[in-house]
Amino acid sequence: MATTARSGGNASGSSAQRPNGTQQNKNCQFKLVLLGESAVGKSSLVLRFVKGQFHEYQESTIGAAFLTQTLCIEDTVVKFEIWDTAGQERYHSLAPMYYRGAQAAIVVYDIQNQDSFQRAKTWVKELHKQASPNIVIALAGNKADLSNIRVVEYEEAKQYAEENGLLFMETSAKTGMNVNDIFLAIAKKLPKNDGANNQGAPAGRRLNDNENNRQTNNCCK
Amino acid sequence: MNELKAPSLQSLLESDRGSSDSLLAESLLDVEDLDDVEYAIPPSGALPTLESALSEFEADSDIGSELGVPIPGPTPTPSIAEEGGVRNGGAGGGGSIMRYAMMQGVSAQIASAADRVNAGMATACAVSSLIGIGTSHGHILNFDITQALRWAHQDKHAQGAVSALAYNPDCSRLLAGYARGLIVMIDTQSGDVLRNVFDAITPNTGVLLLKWTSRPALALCSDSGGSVWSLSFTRKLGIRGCSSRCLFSGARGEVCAMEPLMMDNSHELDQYCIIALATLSKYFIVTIRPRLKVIKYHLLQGPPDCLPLLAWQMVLIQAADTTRSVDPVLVLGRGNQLFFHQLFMSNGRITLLYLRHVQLQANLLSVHWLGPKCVACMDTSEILHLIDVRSSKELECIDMANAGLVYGSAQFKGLATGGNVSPALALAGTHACYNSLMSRGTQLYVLGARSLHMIAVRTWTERISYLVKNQRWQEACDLALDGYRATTERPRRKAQAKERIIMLFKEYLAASARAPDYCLGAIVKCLITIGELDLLWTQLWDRLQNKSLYLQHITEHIENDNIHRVSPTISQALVEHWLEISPSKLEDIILKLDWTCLDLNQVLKAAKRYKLYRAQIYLNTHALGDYSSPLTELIPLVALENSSLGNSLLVYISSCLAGRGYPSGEIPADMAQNVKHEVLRCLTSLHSNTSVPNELPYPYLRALLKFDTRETLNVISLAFQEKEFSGELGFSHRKRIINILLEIMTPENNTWAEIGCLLNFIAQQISQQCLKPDTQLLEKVLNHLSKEKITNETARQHSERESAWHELLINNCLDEISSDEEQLRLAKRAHCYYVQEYLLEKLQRYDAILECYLNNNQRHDTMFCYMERHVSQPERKIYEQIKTNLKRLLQINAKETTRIIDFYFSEKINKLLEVAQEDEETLLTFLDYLHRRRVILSTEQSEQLLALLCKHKTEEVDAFIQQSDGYRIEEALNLVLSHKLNRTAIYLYEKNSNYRSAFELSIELLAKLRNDEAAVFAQEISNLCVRATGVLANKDCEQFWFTLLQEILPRDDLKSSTKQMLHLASQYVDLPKLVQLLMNTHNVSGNFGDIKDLLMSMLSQSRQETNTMEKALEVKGRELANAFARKRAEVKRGLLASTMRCMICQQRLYNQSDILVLGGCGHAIHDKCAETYRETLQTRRNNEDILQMEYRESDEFKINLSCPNCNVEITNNFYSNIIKLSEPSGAVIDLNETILNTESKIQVLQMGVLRLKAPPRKFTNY
Repeated sequence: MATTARSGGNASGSSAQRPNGTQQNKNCQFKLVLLGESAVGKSSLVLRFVKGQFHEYQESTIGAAFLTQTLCIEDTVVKFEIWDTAGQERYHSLAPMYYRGAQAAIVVYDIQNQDSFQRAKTWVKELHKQASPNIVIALAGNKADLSNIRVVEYEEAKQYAEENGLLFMETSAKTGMNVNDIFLAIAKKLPKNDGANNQGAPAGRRLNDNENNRQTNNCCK
Repeated sequence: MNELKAPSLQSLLESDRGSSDSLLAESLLDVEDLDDVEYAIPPSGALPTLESALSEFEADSDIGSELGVPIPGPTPTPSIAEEGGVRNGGAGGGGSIMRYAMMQGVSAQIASAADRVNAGMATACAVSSLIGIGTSHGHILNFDITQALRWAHQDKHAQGAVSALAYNPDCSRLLAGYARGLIVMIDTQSGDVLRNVFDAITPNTGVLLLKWTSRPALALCSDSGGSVWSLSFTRKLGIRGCSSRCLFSGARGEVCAMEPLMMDNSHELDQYCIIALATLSKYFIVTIRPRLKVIKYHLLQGPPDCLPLLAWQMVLIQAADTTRSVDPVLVLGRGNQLFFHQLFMSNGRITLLYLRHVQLQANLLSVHWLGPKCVACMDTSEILHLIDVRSSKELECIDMANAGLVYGSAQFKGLATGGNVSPALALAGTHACYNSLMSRGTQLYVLGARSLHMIAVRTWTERISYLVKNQRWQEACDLALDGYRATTERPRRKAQAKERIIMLFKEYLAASARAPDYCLGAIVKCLITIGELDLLWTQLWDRLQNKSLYLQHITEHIENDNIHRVSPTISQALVEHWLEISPSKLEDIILKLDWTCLDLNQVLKAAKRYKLYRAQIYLNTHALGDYSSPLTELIPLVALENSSLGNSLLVYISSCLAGRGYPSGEIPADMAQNVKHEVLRCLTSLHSNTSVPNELPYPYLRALLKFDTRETLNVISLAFQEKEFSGELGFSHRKRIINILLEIMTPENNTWAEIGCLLNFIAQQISQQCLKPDTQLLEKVLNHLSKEKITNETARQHSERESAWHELLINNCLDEISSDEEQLRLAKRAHCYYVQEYLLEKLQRYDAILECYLNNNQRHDTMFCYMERHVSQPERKIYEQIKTNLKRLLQINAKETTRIIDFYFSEKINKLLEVAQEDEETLLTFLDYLHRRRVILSTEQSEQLLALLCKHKTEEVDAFIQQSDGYRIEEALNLVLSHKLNRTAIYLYEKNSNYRSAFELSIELLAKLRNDEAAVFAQEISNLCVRATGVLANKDCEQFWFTLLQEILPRDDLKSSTKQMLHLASQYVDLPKLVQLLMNTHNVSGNFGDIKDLLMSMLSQSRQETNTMEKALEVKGRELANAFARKRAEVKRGLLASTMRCMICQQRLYNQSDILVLGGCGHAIHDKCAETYRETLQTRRNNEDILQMEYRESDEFKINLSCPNCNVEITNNFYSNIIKLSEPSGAVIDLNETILNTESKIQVLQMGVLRLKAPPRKFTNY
């Protein structure tokens, strides 16, 4: 019990045993930021991930919205603190505040909109330049349910993602396609062992043990 | 028991308890039973382990380990001084500082030794890393740190009780002193006796104290004779010996306390071997090595039954000059006083410095240091007090009465050696417990007769642990925070304290899982104070079921500015929480929080929904850097919302234009310029971004102006002071804004009052040279300013208009478009008197200025100042203007006007009065105020004033008549009578000494008055009568009184004053007549009470007169008697003639003729010769001193008569003292009429003869 959050380590290895005697669980907390042009479906993506809901007419985000979600990966409980930034140009200047301390970012574009893909590229560039060096970036081509009227080709995006070392998925907030998977993929890629992420800003925290099990199960499917 | 030889204690203990030794078991059976009940001795079978023993009280920490560990050094123990309240604050849990434990193992052994081997009760103890107990039968028990008995020593029965024990510093030797004087040294390992010292101390005394010094093999011992001995242990050729030396003899004062200073080798004092000694009247600090020397001694007063108490401790001392040193501090106790002294080296000398004094409630038995910060004092009622030295406050107390403390009185009284001690020591020794209370580090051991107890002081961490264990979280948190705060400036300690608090937090988490809300506030405060916010946001938050309490606490801390950011999760919850309860409070919280921790999406949407405009502005500007959207979004709402939005917006615009942030702080310098431009551009934009078709131009500025024209203009004028609006470009900006304003403010859309504001604003701008004057604009402005009448114009607006105009004029802005004359005409028409005055002044047309003042109600006060200021300048024509406007001036402020006239134009009053004649009222006011200023009015004026007063202000006539005497009485009387002012008339009659008329008029008036008025008036009449008494003849007076009484007595409504009246009258009139009058008045005849006083006063008056008469007679008689007695004494005086010849005829005196003795000189002459002498003298006088005519004939002679021989003056009564000599013819000398007795007459005669022959003596002139 001696390890405290003060130490700045992201994932504490020592944790009390579960009452049922199962193996030890690690608790990690990560800050994740969603970026992308307006109306590509960032908020919808998060809403689908966190609450499993979808609104056809999602009102536009102002500034940034904050949500949390917890995932279970193998023996680790991962808590995402998600900052869903607003896509409108006027809020662009806010973005650095959110992505600077983030361990992960999802850059979202709309597969029907070439401009949004270009914008996504500039976001990636900006992240590489200004965000923490070992930030995990995922590229999400949203609105995959409308792939029949797509403009951005899957291969094009895939290639771009590979070139830049990004995770890539085409997602659909409406159908829920790939939504959990992309977050899961990010969680897997994030370093969870001690000392792996000892440089940079304070990253994760050890959570309290009595985490809500229901929630955990719900999102581990 | 007798035939049974008691087994050695050791064997007893080594053998199994409850052994098969049936004999022993049988013999001690009853005793054991008793023990179990009374002394709680654990059942035989197994020696109780230390853990189990202690856990009976509390499982705090085991004593064994504590004994083993070195004495705790300065650990991160914050001063426990700060919270003496813990003791009281603890909910039934008692204090947390002192920990009590009974040394179960040791106690059991003591009791068992007493019972089984007849060791007696415990009498002394010593505590080091071993525990030694001595008993009254000379047994010594030695225990190790686990309370196990190591050995027992029991072959000194003959030496009496063990009176003192002492371990040497390395705990290898134990010194034991006995009540009969033996000192024994024992090897602590084996229990073998190494030395028996029989003759170390004064013979036939007992050992009182034994102390090892800081030198090895040197110990000190004091005996019941009060002497102190040093014992040096030697080992020569393997033979152990001991040489003792007397350091102090008890003959010079008995030493009852001694305490060697023990310290480690690091201190500069360690080269000395220092001891503190105390007798019943003094204390000494002495070095005994390298040589014996007294460093300091001082008196130590105290009650005779209290022993002096001494204790040393090394203490970190911070001096005033912030130098720190660790020095020994001696605490000296006596009675209820404690004195602290610091011992240190100064310039090579050992110096004792007095530090402080503490006074306690009760007398003390013992004083021991428990660590460097506190002192434990046992008082005479066996209550142990823990005193914090720094604050001199009592931290805690604990009642030790149950311990059954052992007293060493027997040793002090020398019972074992025949009681050969001094009575003082024996008395003081009643409270001796030097050997039964021992301290070690922060522990205090208390020896009871059959038990040993321990009190330990908990450190800060231990106290927290203790409180935690008792679930006293609130106290634990408070204590933790106190400790944390006390570690300021000591980073290492701070870190330790922080770690402890984090541990406390974890303990809290673990302990309060069932009731997560319990003492939440305290924990939250702890975490915030130590800055462990992450724990607060995660661990504490996650476990809470009901979050509202947590949020309340967090809110409190936000409001108190303790925290400025929270985690996003919390901020979201906080926003939701307060949205439900009080959105306005949410706004305050948002304004206090750092915006980066907020969910902007949530907060901004909520702000919009709940109309938290300030929060909206704050977030838009700070977070989004968007300074124009609050304007574009909120200004259209101004008309719909209450005024707070509009006002907030105005404040916002103003602060933006001034480069300040909203609601506080500054806009970053690099942005300020942009923000200003942006805000200005937004305000002056022609159309809104959501432009509706028929929108009027400049919607934003228009809306603000509509909301509050004046304030909006104020905002703009404030903004104009910024540097952006200065210079060429700035002026053009101003120009543009003014034009926009003029364009917006049209008569169709705005009231004239609003337009007036604008024009005033413009006028101000022009006059401040802030705007290029332009003819068209000026004309427009002037048009407004000179409007004859503006509907609904308030006084404030009017004065603003005037001042704007005035400003313009002062700055000569209107020169181009009109002349002063023109302006004057306009001003007159517009009732702008201030402007008019200014213009008149400018044109030097002073004669009309006063009128401007007169017309302006607001400036009447200044008018008088103006007059006074310029009164000396003839060209101002003040007098002329006063003359013209006299009536109005008097109406406005008659007092001031009159003052000015009287002060400056007193010679022209008459002329002014003439002017005033026109109007009666004016004249009256004027005269009245002149009179009030004590201006001397002429007779005519006075009478005129009187006439006017009679006519208009009858109530002031009286006052005037009485104050003034400028009128003729006759005239005044006529006036007054003509106006039927009877009372005034009465006054005037009286003033004219016409009492009769006054009286008659009064009676007439009285007849008309009724009730109270009448009573008061009757009183006045009686006063009049009294005054008349002095002037009129008695008869008239009496008549007045009777008339008055006749009027008063029959009237019922004057009953109340009747008595008083009669009383008054009785002083002035004949009483019998008065009574007669009363009798005749039928109304009072029945009432004896009314006349009772009268009769009584008559009687008493008569009695008084009789008394006076008697007294007078008595006095007269006494005076007569006195005069007679004086005379007689004079006459009885003897006379002496010093010569035998008459001074005139030189014949013998005694030639049968009468003799006159002349006086002081004693010369005498014949009576007949005197006749001739007088005649000759008189004729000579008459010839010589004709000038001295003032002398009357008879007097002259007498006064100037002097003895013919020596010129001694002769007194007046000289001729009455003729001495007639006895003559055979039988003429009796009439010496004294009072002497009737013939016998005595003869004596007197004889004496007279004798006296003549007596030697001359001085005769004082009577």
